Amino acid sequence: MLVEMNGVTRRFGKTVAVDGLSLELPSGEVVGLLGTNGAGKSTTLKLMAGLLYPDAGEVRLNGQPPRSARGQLAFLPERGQMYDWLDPKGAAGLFSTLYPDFRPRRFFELLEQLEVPNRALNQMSKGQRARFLLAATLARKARLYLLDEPLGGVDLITRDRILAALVSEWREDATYLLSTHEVAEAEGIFDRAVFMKEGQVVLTASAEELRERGQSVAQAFREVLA
Amino acid sequence: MSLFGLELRKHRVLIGGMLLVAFLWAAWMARQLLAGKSLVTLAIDIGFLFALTPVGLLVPIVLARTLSGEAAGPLAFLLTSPRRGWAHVAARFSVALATLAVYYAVLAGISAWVASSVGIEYDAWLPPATWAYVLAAWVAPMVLVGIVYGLVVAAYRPGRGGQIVAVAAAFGLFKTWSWLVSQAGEHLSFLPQLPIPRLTVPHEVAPYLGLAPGDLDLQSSLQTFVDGIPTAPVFVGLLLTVGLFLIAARLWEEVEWA
Repeated sequence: MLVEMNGVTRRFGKTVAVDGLSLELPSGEVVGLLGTNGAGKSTTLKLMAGLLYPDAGEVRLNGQPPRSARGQLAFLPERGQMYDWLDPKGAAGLFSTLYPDFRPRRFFELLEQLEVPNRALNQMSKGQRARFLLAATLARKARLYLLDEPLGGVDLITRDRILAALVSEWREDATYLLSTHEVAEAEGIFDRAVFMKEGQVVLTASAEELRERGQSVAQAFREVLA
Repeated sequence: MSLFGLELRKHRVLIGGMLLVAFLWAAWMARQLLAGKSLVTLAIDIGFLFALTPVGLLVPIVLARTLSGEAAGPLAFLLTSPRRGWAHVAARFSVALATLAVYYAVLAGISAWVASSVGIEYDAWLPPATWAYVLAAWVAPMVLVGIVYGLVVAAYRPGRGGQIVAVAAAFGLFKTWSWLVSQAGEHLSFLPQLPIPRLTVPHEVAPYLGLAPGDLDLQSSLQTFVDGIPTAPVFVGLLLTVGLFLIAARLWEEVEWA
């Protein structure tokens, strides 16, 4: 298994964001992490990325703690921000320094595909910034991509462009875990859906299993999480 | 862009501002001195002010910028980088130390120039030696104290009680630092000593420095009491620098991005 989470709990004060969560993800899948607001999706992704430590339980990526496996994972935070003064060329330089697996040529291809203008981040719109950071994340040759709400707050055309970029980037040796509210738009690309509610996984089902049940991901979302 | 380049770019306004202030002061002093004015007292007062400026003003600004600016987003990209914590800490430390080294070099240069202009005679090695002594014994550990403090706050987000503990710990560190210097000076007699520099202050300048009227010869005055200038503060400073660097590198691995 590429990702293993066993009995993971994370609290913020009195709030239990993730509550005894156990989850296993194999290699080579596009997985949707689905849930309503406050279900614990972002916290789960941050725990996998090693940006948060669990209060209880264990997270393993390829058998290692997340911080030791940083070279194998690419994380796109929700409302991700980067230094405002960075332009694509500067970002390519910085990301090449930070991540040995960063592919500058692929980054520029993705920027073109996502129609991101060649200027500094402080001269871009919110949607352009989001696409810029998505391109930087996907330009890494990681084993695990953790994308927190990559479709949040963008228009339909942009959403299609992002999904097309994701599909074009898909590799068999990598797993893509996307948290999203945009279930209907994204469900065509999921191999598996993980449904979260109140910090716990309430259902994990492959697209095939859902088809056998005669359900779309959106229908299962409504049924499981309502 | 290297990590060093990133830190330089992030703080370029602060760094540029600080160096500009230092060079403006140098230019102002030059103008006054070339006009033939004696500014020893003023130079000493302003010198103290500028010597303390980096610690009193800039360190809190840099810390505040680090905590508010990066915590919002870019920190996530830095923390998920497979580059180890020591690389990030080394970049921050070297940019800060390099900036302060230039700043204090300007101060040392101006001080030497003012001293020469008013007739103070000294060994040529004294200004660079003082500069290196201050950097090693005081500036380098102070920079790391700032970096460690910022990382502790980022890693553990102390509440009100925790912040009181952190402030108390900072005072404790300074007290320990001072204790280490005195202990090293007393007990580590094998540490080398710097020779007492030749420094003579002419009688017309002595009153400006709060000295009794008459020529002052530092070398002959001090030689009756001590053999040389102790280097214990330098060794303690370097020891603290290494220790705090290791702590900062480890703390980087603990920082969370909530």
